Amino acid sequence: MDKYNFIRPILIFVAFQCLSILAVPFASKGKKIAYGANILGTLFLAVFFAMNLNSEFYLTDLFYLDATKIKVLFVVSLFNILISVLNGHKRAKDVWASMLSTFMYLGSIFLIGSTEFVTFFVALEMISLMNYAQISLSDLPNSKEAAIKYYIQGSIFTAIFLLSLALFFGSTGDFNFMDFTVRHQQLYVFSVALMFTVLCFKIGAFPFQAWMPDVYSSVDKGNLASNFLITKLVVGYSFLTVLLRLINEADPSYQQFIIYGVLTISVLNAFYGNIVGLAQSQFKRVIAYSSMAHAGYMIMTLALQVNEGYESQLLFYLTFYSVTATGAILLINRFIENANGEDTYEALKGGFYKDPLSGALLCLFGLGLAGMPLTAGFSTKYLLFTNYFREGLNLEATVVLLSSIIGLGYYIRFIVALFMEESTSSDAKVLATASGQALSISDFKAKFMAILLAALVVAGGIAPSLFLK
Amino acid sequence: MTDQIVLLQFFAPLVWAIGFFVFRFDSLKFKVYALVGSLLFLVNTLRLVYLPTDLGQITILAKYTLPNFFGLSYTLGIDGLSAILVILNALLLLIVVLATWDFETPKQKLYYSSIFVLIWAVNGSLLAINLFAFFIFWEAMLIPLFVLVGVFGGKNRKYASYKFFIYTAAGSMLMLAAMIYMSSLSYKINETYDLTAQTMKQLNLNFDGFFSAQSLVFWAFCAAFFIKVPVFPFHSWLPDAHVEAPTAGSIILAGVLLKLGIYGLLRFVIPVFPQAVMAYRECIMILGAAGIIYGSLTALAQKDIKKVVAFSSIGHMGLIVAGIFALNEQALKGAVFQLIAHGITTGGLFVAVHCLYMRRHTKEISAYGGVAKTMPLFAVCFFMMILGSMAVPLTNGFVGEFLLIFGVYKSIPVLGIVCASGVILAPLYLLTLFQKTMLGQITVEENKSLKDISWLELTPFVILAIIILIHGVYPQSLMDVYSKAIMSILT
Repeated sequence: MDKYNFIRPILIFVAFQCLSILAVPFASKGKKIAYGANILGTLFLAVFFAMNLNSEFYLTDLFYLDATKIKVLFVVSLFNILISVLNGHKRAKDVWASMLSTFMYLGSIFLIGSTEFVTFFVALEMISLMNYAQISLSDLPNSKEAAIKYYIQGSIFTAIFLLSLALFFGSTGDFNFMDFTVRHQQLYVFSVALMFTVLCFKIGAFPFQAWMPDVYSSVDKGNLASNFLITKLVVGYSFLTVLLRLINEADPSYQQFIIYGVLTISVLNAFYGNIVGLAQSQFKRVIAYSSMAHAGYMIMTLALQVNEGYESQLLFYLTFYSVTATGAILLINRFIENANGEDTYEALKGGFYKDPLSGALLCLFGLGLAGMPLTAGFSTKYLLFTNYFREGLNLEATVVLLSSIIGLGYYIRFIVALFMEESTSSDAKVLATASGQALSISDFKAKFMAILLAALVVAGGIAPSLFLK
Repeated sequence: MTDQIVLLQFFAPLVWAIGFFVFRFDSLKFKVYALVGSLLFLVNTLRLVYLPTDLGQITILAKYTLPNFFGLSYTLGIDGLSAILVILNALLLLIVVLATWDFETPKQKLYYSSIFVLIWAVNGSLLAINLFAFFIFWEAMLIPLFVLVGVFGGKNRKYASYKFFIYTAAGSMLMLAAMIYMSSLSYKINETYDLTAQTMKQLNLNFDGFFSAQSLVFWAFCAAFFIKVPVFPFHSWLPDAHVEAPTAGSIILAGVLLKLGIYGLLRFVIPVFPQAVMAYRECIMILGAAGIIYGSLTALAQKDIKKVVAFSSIGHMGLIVAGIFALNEQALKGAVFQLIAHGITTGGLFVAVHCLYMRRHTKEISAYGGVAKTMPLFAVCFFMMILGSMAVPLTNGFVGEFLLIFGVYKSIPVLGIVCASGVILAPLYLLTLFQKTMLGQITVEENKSLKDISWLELTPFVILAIIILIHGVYPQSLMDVYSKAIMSILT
């Protein structure tokens, strides 16, 4: 396919986004135009990807999108649209949040398609900067503090990443990570090790996870999509697949050393995330720590041999993890909004009886995160661990799998709070919707989104092969 | 019959469960809806069971393959062993609906839907032929039971439900690890990830000591099944769960859920890990015998009626475990017979406890006494269930226990004697329970005005009593269904 066939829609998409930036300052009509242009631009690109799901795009040696990556971008674009719709355009802040999300989406396209580290670095930074700004826009308390913490720590890891890129160039004489020759093994291994620490930071893995609980506490509808679908799915997938490739190019003796490190970090993550998650009183922090445990499960992929099957399975894992966590946070936010805005155990108490649909769906998402059968969480876990056992990581995989027993302790708190507790506060707003009164637009949009995500979680649990195809 | 029709029948309880949330019924209509559902499920199950021509071997009923997911599948099939358990499952659903007709709760939708989902998951486990499907349904059972105990249970319901969930989920994780390990190994040898008992056996896992592959996988499976049974010393969740669970939860728990542990051992352990079974069977039989003595003695010391029944279950299940690891025809036939007998009699005992609790709102033995004077019909029903549970001749309990003790004695005589002496303790605690609650003078004022059971309350007792007597007088009627299937496990 002609390479310009790909450039043109991207340029049109960028034009739409420029229009929305220019339109925002013009009073309420400006917000509407910005909102519309933002959604239309993403929709345009989504349609383009939908029409070219089995195509390939490339730009010299810098950029390459295969069919799998196009599918990922299609999924991300759909969710980006849904989240923008969910955000609405009542306040300029909401429109800005959607636009930042869209620019992160643009960064995702470049990140996922990059074949060399310069584009990779620029795209990653684009995503990170938008993410810092977006978190600071959150209405939730302490969001500014979380954004600054995240920004400062992020800057340090940007420097580390730059250093690792310099070392990579020094050891290979190239920035291309698809096709290179290692000339200096020690430098190369050091560069890979540094990149691994950056990966750990980006996906919030122990011991570089300090930013995550605060940031997750600040996740509201404005930055919901970006925090899971972009930072987890796109960044996680891109980084893991690149590192998997790099580790496999290392000298076997060094490779073994890196793999030991990877396995150690993986096991530590699984235990740290699950144990600390038990001690949390806020549900969004529970999701943050469970996310660390999940990071442990997926980091282990780096100990495997390069295999295209593993890459698509990793993608399946990340997509469904992101979908499940997005659904969980979306509904936790809904309960929190109706309980004086505080993320406490009280907010979810008796949730099923106040709003059966939201309660049941949140329970489903909780079970999905716990990896219970008939949810996508189980299929994804099964998929990853089968690969680990197949590659002979029997002990490590068993230990990590057993750590998830600890995790069950906090996941069932969702069920306990929703089903087994009686609410002590009168949550008029939620009770009103539960008793059959007309849903507000915002309620309708949130519920529609939650049902859609839940349907995916169940479909991914019962018939995972549909998605792996 | 096509796969689609079988699948439709299979998913019927789940669809019925969703109906509780779709329809806007009042309390009575919900109960009628549940009763109709349970009757249809029973009829449906009986049709399913009479589908295969030979119950001695597994007949595949339906298969749904996941082509891009390691070629794993949901394979449903039936043989004599699963046939009798699915019938028990369907029967107990009917008993639960009838017995708890007077149970009123504002959360009725959740109550009935949890029961139907639970029964569906149990059914799935029993019909699953491959390990993947078995595990899916095995885990799916946890949530509805967790909700039943945690939402509709007694004062310490949250503690009991947490404990039950964590214990069983921990066992399941070990099984999952072992399952994935075997699955990946199976791909290397048989080029399939899908495990059935047959393909698992073909793996011929190495056995040369405790830390060998076969031994570790064997213990991982045993841990999951032993917790579910529960085998002493993995039993501590059971008394709490039984005491705190609502009657429906207790009946299903004792009636079929515990049996799934034994079913798992018979289906996926004994035929699959021959060397490990032979190496560890004595040790497991000792645990079983210890369970009988421990369960019986502890039952003697209880002050709560439900706890007596709960600890008696530990004893009964201990005998069954000792029996299946005796690995002879009599013990295995007796074990399966006793599975059904225990499901029927213990279900009946919990129905009896429910009748008393609905009248006095206490399960303390000391709160009763002389109740037979005001509730004679109930006392007769209660006594019938006790007779079955303490294995009096001409009741179903006798046949099962006789065969089991005979089989254990044949295998290890000393253990046979220990099991027999443990079984002698059963009449002691059960008759003491009956004497303290039903006989003597009425010492508590409230008991003087107790109403005897209604015809509706009598119905489950009558159904269960008929089964107790038929199986006690003509045990062959039950044995014919599963004998061939159980013999194929032994060979």
